Amino acid sequence: MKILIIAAVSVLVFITGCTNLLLKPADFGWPVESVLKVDNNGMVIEKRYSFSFNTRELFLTETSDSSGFRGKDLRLIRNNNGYYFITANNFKNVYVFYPDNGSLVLSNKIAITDSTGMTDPAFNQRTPYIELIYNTNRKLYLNNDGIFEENSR
Amino acid sequence: MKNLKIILGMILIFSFYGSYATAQQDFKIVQDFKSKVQEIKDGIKKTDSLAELIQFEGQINQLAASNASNKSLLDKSLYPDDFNSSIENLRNDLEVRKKDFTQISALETRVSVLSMHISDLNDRNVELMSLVKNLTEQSKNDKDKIVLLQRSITALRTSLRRRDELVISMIDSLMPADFRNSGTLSNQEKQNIYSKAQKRNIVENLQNAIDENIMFMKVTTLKPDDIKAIKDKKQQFEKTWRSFGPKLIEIYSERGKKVKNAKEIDSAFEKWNSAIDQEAWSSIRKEFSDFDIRLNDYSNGMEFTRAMINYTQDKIKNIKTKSDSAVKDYLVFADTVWFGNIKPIWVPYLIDNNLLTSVQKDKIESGILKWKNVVYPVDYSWIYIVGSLLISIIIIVLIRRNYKKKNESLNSNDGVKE
Repeated sequence: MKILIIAAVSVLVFITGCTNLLLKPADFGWPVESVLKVDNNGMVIEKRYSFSFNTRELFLTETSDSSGFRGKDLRLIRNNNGYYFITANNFKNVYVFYPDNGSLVLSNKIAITDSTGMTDPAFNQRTPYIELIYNTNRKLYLNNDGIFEENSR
Repeated sequence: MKNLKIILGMILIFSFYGSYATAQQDFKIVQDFKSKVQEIKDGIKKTDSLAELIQFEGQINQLAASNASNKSLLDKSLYPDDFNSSIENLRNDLEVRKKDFTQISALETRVSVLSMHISDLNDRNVELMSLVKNLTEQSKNDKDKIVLLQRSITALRTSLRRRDELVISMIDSLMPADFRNSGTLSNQEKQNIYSKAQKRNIVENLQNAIDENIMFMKVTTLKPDDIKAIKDKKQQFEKTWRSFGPKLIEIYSERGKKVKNAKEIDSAFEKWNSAIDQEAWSSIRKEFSDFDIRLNDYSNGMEFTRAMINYTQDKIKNIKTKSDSAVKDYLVFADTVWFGNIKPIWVPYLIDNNLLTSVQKDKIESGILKWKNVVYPVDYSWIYIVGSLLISIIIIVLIRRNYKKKNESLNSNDGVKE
């Protein structure tokens, strides 16, 4: 037991040593969402923030169609914690990603509707939340953990 | 504590809900604002008149007022602009365009006035040109007409100069330098230039100015300074046309009208250039013909040199005996025309303008020198005279010496006898 306590303290000290530099507060939030056209290769390019990624896997996961990305618009916004919220017309989910080593890693998949997909979804920045508007009058407040609260008119 | 967090969260959400009860999309707000800005910007650019432009003032004010509540969102989203700078840019565009119209209006008035003056001067030039032609003929027989001819030529020269200045001024007014130097013109600007160029007969006036300047050179005999002045004028016209013509041809080409006329201006300048060169030779020809000297035809330095050398060689061949007329021919040709007129007045101009080389000039003068040597052969009589005198003196000296010797020998013989 004693050895176990010593080992745990050592690990704790080691981890603390590795994360000694922290810049805070930091706000990664975008003031407004970006609506990006998916190109023939499944890529989207965000010019203002200078980044791009491939959406093939995202559309495959959402629609089970490998060519489901063709001609689609992707809606994308980043919250103040740095998570990307991504969805598109007819999606049932909002996907939450974080950037890691040249890729976007799925952090959360927030289910919004059950049977049919959303119509005209849109994100608004409502720090500390992301407002999701869909089906004309449906509104949800999201964070990277999921739905914080729902409002409907 | 947990309940307090939930209550705070609900207050926050309700406050959002209150502000955006109609579920507005921020993206749409930003896009609508951007579209409206672009729409007003385009509208300002395409506007045809100052009156139409006024309506955009109201639109800009309305855009600013209706989006004031979204200022914070727009400030963050309109990177690199913001809400205020976007509105300010529109107001600046409006002011710049207003100035354009004010300037265009002033230019239009000026062009109208210029057009009238040009038309009057064109008529006057035609009259003067005809008068000069008639007087040139009459002055050959009637010396009194020469003064009148000179006056008419001066009047014509002044009138042409004024008309030419007006034509250049009108071109400048039609297309200000800013337009000429700009890479592209909008369709609206092209249409404006096209209709004004048509209305003011720009191409016709330019062509007319070139033709009349060529005609002026044909009906008058000019001195190098006059030709230099015409050459300077031609360069000024050409410079103006080079900066204006290609844009005008492009505009005419797009409308399929008067392209040929506009393109002919380039060849008209070539004709003018050639006429200027020929004017020098023509004036030189007249200088010779005024003294009844007929040279073979020439229109360049090489031909002129050949004609001059041929003339002097012919003269040398035809001199059989030294006569007064041969001397007179030489004196008129060499002293009066060449050394008295052509060489001091025309040769520097010809050499400066690469119409004659120094080598060609030296060849001509060498021919004249040969002719001189024939007309005035070198006189060797003084050598004979001096030689004869010397020989006579020597003979006299020798005779006297012999006589002296004879006398001495006779005297000595007489002494012996005694």
